[in-house]
Amino acid sequence: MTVATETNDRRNATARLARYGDGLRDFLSRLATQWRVIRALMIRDMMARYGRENIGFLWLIGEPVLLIGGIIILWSVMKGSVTHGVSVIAFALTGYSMLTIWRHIVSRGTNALKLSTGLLFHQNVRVLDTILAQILMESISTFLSFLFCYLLLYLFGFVELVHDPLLMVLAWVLMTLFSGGFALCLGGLVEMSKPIERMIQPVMYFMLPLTGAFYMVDWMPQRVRDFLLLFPMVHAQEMFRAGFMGPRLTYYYDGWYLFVCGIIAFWLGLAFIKHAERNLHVA
Amino acid sequence: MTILAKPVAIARAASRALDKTATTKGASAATPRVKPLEDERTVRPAAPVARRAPGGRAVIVDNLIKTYDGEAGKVRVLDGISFDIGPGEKIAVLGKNGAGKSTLVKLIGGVEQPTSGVVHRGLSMSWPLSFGGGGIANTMSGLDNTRFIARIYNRPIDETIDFVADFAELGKYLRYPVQTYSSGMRMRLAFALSMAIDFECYLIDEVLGVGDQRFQKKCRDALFGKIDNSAMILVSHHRQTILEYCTKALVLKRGRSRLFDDVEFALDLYSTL
Repeated sequence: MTVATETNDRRNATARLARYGDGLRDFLSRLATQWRVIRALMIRDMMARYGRENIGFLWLIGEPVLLIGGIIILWSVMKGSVTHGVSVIAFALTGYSMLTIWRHIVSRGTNALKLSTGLLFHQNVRVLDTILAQILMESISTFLSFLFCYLLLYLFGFVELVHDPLLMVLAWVLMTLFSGGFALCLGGLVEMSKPIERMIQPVMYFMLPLTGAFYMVDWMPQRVRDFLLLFPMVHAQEMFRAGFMGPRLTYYYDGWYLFVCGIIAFWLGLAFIKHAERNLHVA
Repeated sequence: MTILAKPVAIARAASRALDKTATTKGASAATPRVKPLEDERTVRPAAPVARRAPGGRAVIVDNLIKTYDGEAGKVRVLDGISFDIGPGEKIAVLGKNGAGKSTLVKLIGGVEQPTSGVVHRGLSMSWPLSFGGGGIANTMSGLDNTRFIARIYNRPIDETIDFVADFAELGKYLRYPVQTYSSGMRMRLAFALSMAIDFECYLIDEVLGVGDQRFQKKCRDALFGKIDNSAMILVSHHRQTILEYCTKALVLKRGRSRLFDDVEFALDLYSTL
């Protein structure tokens, strides 16, 4: 018994030392833990969804590739090779990649709260971690599938070299930020009220035209343009296309507007999630 | 105030309480009361502050309240629970079905958040080991589950897999998805995983009686033998287990709790509830 107390005391002393130790080191170690947990969650998500059968987690890229590729073929058949002076293939590739990340992030982020309750059994895993992991996963995998499609199309000469990769990556990151924030908000709201949960499907469906995937803002009359530019998704879409197709077309976007919207959405989403977590019932 | 138990049983429990008062050290039995059940709701649980371990190395539960919003209005499942567990202490949680035992375990494990009150986790805590095999993903294989747990708790992956393969004795089934397992196999995996991480405090929700005889013995040996200095919160209806291993007992009734240092007395009281 005394031996046990002694070792405990020693352990306490070291624990106290560690606690009063370098604040920065503490912060960094917490950050490392956070990253470790999110990384583990991402790998888990990959394994749980695709497993090791046939091409395994490569489906993570394969699924969006099939979707984007199918749309490219469909639109090329429907609209010919050029529409409004824009190559249909480039138009469909950029539009559908952005649309895919928007739809996937919002739907997965919203459902994450329900699907991942089993994960909360582990103390390091909080609701927010599971949703962040989903958001990151979707963003990265869809980006990889975009790259894959782009590379194929480029090699076969269907699209030109991208004009400004950095602008595209920036648009992608900001879109992830905004749709992630939006997903967090919806996830929290869905947990709080059943009617909202029922309304999500139609609302998301009617929001499809507001993502800017099916048109360019430049084609629209002034009034419609002003209305469309209220939606951050349109800004992200225009920004992405500006990076892809270069300055021979006119684009309407404001990176800062998108950024601020993303931050606000994320901030609201964190508050909602915090509230929802309090009332979460894990069966 | 309605008396739920048989008057004879209450009288027996009360007289035993009076007998034990001299020998028990805890605050719970310090004040002899003639009717221990009658005014139960008005008595505050023993203040946990005095026994608090130094340096915060303890699990401290302070005035825990949990309310659920149901279709038939709010239900207050836990109503001001306070106690604490030092390193190596083993505590039994007793109560009828629906008394809030599993809710308490979930709150302590951090699975759900309390409506109000604090849970301080000064020890590394296991996830609640319960019948559902909580903390295990059904669509993944046992191996992938093991890898995930090792990553989450920052343990070397290969060693963890070796340990789990050895302890759970699932053989080739470790490579199959957990959803194909029987409930016994699932518990083997869950137990092996929690043993592999070697926690300082285990949360066990009525699962000690699962599995075949040999595995049960193995679990008991691992839980109570090898890592004897790990603390434990044990929800169980099994009198023998509790008497053998636990040093304290927490009796839950209608969301209120009382902590007893005398486990046998607590078991008797519980049987009259």
